[in-house]
Amino acid sequence: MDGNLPQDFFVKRKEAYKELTDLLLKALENGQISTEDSEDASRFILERLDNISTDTYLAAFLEEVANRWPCFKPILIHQQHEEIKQEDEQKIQEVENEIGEISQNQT
Amino acid sequence: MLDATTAETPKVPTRTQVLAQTEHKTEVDTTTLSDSLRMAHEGNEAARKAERDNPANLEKSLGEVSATEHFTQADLDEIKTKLELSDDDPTYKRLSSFASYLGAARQAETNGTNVEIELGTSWDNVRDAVVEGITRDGKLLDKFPELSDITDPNAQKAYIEIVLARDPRLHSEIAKRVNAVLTDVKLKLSDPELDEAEKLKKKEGEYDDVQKQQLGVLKTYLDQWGVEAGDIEQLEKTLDLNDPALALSDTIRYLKHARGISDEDRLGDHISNQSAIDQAEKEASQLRAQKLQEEGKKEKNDDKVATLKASIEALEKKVDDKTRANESIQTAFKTRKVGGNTRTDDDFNAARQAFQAIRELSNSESDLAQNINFITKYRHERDLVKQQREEKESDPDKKAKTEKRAADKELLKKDLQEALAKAAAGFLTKKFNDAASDQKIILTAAQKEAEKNGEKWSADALKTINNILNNGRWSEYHEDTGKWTFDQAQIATDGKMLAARQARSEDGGKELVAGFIGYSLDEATEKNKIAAAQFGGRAYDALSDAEKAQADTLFTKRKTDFDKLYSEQGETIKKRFLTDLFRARGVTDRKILGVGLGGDLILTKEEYGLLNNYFGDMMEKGLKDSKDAQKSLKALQEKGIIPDSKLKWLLYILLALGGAAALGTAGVAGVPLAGMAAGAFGK
Repeated sequence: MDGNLPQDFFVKRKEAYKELTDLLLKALENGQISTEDSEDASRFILERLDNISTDTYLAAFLEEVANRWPCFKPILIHQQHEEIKQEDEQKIQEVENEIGEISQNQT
Repeated sequence: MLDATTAETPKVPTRTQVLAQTEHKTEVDTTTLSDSLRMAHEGNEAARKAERDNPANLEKSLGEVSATEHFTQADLDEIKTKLELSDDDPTYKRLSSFASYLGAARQAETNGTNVEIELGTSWDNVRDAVVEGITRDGKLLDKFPELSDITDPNAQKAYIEIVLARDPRLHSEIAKRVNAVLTDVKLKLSDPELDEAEKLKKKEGEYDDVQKQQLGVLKTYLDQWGVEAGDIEQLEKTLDLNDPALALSDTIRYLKHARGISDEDRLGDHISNQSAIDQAEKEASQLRAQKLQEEGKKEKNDDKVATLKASIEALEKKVDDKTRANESIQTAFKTRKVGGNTRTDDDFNAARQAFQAIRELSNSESDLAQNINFITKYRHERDLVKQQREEKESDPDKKAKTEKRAADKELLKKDLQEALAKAAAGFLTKKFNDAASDQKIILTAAQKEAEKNGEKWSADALKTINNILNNGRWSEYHEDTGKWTFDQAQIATDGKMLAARQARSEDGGKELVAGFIGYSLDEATEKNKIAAAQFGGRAYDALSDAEKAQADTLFTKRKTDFDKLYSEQGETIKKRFLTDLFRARGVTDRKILGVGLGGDLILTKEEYGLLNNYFGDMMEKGLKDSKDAQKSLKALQEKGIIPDSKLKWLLYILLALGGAAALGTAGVAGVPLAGMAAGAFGK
């Protein structure tokens, strides 16, 4: 366990592991990826993912993995979904803050 | 290296599509899942970890290949049989050493046994065989020209062993190629009809071998008797080997001829006569004894004595007749000249003795007769097998198949011969693909970080650099062919520039990167560019003081951004140049850091020297940061080898370029480098 890593990032990285694993195994089952490529991909992931400790690196890493081995492309959908969700939550928070400020000013 | 089956891949959807999707992932224990990813790569990681945990136990890393690809001696032997390779075939021997090396290491890793026990020989012996195999494979060494520059053979072998032979990825690549040949051998060389024909052909060959051996025995007989029978092939043609009686008769004829004996000599009659004489004398002698006995009796039987006498006289007559006949034969023998020479009684006696011996050889119990019998029997069986084979191969379809199979065999032999060299090429390509990915990740992450921090200029600059590096400035990967191409002329141009700047103790990399993004290192030029962009195309000097102040602020900001970008990403860009130079020179050149380069990549020895100095610190740092490189350097040092700059380059490319170490030393825009060591990419 990475002691200095924020818990939410640690979870995010584990999620990435999970999703990459699912996609790789599924692609292997479907014959979407050759055994040789799957070995290369898993080696590439294993050698790097544990060392990643920022969102930007994780995003760049997943982008590259998906570019090199297209069976991982769905992970970009998930990532995009998460980003949109975060943006929305941030906007909602901002609106709520604004509403709170307006209410306070009115009182 | 994309699989053709993955061509149809999902596109990144629109925002609406994404939001329309429901959460499709269920909560699963992530530890288990990450473990299962590891299991997809099982063994490799375990072996890697084992090696990491126990640096002294380097051999264990060989077991890594077990989880991915490996090949056994049995696999090789199957290939050898199908491709009809000899035991001494150099490719077979080379790969055989590898099979032993890998198999023993795998066994030792799995069972925890001693590698030497598994091998049944010393580890050094097998390892030496493997290293020797690599050393002698010219095509493989072409991929690592630096190794050819090592003049001390022991140092060369140590280098090969420590840097190459132990690399599990190279093993895996070799195994893949051997297995590909094995698959093809099974697929292309497995027609039952043709297999049968091949078996028959093999049997035919075995028969031929036995026959040749036996003809050799026959030849020794003939040699002993002074018969000039020529070599075995001539002997085979001369004798009628289809019928043992005829073959024997032929042989006897040759032997008689060798002793100057002809049928006219009637030596056979002489021997028969002598035999009759001997028999008659023996009988006469017995009858004489009987006659004496009868005559000595008190009451002798006169009739019986008379009968015995008559018989004795008849036998004596026979002896006389036969003796005369033989004298006549002997006289006739002597009257016939051979080669102009008169024959004597001694000649007659010698010829008679030889004839007697030859006659004994023709006896069915004699070794000669048995030998000929054996030859003709095998000849007969061989002909039957040949006939069967020809029947199997006779129809046009099978003929075509046979021809195709022969062609396939040749191709597969070539594949096998090139297995080591292609494995080395594949091994290098994968390393470079990974390194290129690492460089892309670092630049993309920096770009994203800059975007997040609202640093638009830096983000755009990083994007541009990433595009330039990955889209053909020096090299380009083509997904359709799975191959890289290199712009050797551009590499040479940039290399010359870097070398020239290095000669003036300047950092040419900075100039290179500035050129990529249209930034000028010259203050006046850059300020003019800013003025033109911000103030309607005007020159800096034409600006008002207030406008100049604005332009100055922009300039300072841009300079700070550029310096930061270069200090953080300069190394990544330099690494890319270094690897592209390494690879591009491999396309045409066999000498590294030397003269005689081919193609458009023309750099002088001096320029290479300057480049080596320019990249020296980066390589030293990379080697220092890489555990694998440190381990190898230590092992080399223990053998008394201190790598020079060329070999350090090779070590750097092979051991320190890619992977987490490369990523871990990189900086990210917006994050101080000092923090990176244990921060953004370190644990």
